[in-house]
Amino acid sequence: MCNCERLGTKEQVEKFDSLLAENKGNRGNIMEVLQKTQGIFGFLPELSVKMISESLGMPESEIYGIITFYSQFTLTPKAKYNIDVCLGTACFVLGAQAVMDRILEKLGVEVGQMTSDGKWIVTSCRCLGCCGLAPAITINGEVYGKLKPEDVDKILDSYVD
Amino acid sequence: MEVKIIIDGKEIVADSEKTILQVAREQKIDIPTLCYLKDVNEPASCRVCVVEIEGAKNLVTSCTTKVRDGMVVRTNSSKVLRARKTAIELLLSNHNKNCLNCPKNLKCDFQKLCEQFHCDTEKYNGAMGKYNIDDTNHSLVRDMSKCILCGKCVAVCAKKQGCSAITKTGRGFDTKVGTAFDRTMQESSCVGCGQCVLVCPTGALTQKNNLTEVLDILDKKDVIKVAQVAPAVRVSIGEEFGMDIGTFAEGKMVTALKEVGFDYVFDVNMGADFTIVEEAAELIEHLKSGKKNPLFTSCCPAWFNYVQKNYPDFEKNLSTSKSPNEMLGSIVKYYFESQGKKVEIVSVMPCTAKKREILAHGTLSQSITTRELGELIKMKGIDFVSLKDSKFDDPFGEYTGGALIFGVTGGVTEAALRYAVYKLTGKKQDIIEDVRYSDGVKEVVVKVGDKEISLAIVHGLANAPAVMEKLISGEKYFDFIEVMACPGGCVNGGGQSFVDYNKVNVEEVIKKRSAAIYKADGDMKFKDSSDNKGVAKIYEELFKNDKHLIHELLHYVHTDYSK
Repeated sequence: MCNCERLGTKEQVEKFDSLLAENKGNRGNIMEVLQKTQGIFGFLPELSVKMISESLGMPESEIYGIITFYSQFTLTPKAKYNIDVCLGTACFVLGAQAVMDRILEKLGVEVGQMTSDGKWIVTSCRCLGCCGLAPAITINGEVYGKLKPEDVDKILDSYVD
Repeated sequence: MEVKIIIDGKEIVADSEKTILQVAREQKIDIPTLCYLKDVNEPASCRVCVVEIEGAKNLVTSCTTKVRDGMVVRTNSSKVLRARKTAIELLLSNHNKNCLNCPKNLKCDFQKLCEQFHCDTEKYNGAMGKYNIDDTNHSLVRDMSKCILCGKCVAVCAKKQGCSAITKTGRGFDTKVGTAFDRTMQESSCVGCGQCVLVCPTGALTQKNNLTEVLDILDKKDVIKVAQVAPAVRVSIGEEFGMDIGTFAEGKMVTALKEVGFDYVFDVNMGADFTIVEEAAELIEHLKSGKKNPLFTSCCPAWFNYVQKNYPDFEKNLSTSKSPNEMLGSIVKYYFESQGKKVEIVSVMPCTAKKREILAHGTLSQSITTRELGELIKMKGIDFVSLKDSKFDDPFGEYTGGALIFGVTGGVTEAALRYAVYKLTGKKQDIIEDVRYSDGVKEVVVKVGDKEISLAIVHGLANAPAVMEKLISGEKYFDFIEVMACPGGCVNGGGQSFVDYNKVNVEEVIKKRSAAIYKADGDMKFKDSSDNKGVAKIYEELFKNDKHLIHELLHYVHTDYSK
């Protein structure tokens, strides 16, 4: 396994290696292997897909088809903090777009693009199920409600590490 | 079990294992389909084959519904026809309808059905997918704005060709046929065989078209313009002009190429005779060495490419004798250039992968497919069917049956054996039935004199791994492995004429075109490449038997096709 060091930490690679060894030649286990691989790395690195393809004896294209079919799989690394901005009806009419714009301006990214330090990624959703708090965002599941654009800096700055 | 059913008022006794579609087609009852490809792709996704069954609540897809005793089927009721029309109109809603600009215009199965059902192309206007055209591949062009997601290309690529270069990616409206990680076709595992092009019902997958370049060559004044034609083209070119599948149209084809504007029309069969002389010599060499060193044929560029991508350790086993196309090209070029003349060579091939082969070696100017030749002849306003026959030009027009059968699976092996048998025993053996058409893989041991030669003959690349695995594991040894990427060999190459698979299945196409080749072989006086007097003459008079020159001209230093 010559390319392993490019995949992740030693611990991650060891786990991944034994996962491949357990499932060698077993195409039927592709879903489980992909789920566990994502569990190890946090996402599905391109190289891991190539190695899964070789180990399970399944064409890379077919695996890619599966990954892009199921929304549970992701090919891009996850940021440390995921800001989910609600753009559902209630949040939107109460000014969610301005909140979103301020967040993007502060972090200097587009929606779905990770900050270069890997700390933040901003996504949008339609309704978090707490319209009484509109406009609302969540950061890794933590809800912040009744926001104004000027609240954004303080909240983000509170995530120091 | 036999059952009685009624289709469109006609009583039919049918096998209960068969689907309504199969039974109907056997009875020449036309049910249109877009996604159905027998045994390869039966996803029932296009919904165009729906039929009405008496007593059933809904229409059913005839491609997946088996016949039952007492079933009363209607294939053309108003309800059925309306449902088909709607199914097509829904497919049209996300289809790039710029048909006049499409390479498949008037040859498109989808377009034909739109016309047949009087479809309203604007009925379900809505969101349109955004796709880039991928023309990175030397052989093929992919335009997903034309794709209707029938899945035939994906199925053929995986099941018949074992390449799995393309697959369905994404979900819902975002579903498309794509490569792993949306790489370009050139970076994918595609080998350029073009089988996907043969089955695509729209213009989503087409070959690269090089006719503009060929027209420019034909207008040049100061060069000799040479056309050279592969064996399998002559049994398919007639189909471009409405002739029956497998019509042997060699004479008309040569006349057409002359009228198109080529100064000389040479026969790649002559190149094939050279390939046999060189390749059989390699085989005899391998056998004499006594070492376990299998020889692979290398005349199929898609197989060549497949070995480089999937079994790089075996690249050294590919025969270094050039393919007949490259072989003849090199000789023709040397012939004219040694007289101080400039020459441009265009080859006509049943093959899309040859476009890549000629680029890798740089001897020929262009390589066009049988279909492109058909277009060229039409473009030049030539009435092909009424043309008189002509013969190929000297000195590269002579050929033997051994060369002709290169166009069929098993042909290279048979030709090499005819030659080797003669060389090793002094006897002639004209027909070697053992190596001819199989289901995909044929493993045989042939006795040549006191030697036993173990052979594997493969067609359809998906059959290659089984043979390779045996070789690698040591379970079996083969002295000689012939692989033709396309099922049936070049007669069914990715560059051959389109056929309507709703009317005739691919096995029949292969059979008819192969039969035309074998018939012509049977009629030939000389069947063994060593009887080609022209070949012997060129070795003596042109090459002066200079071994160095011969090797330089007729053998490869293997080139990387993947670039």
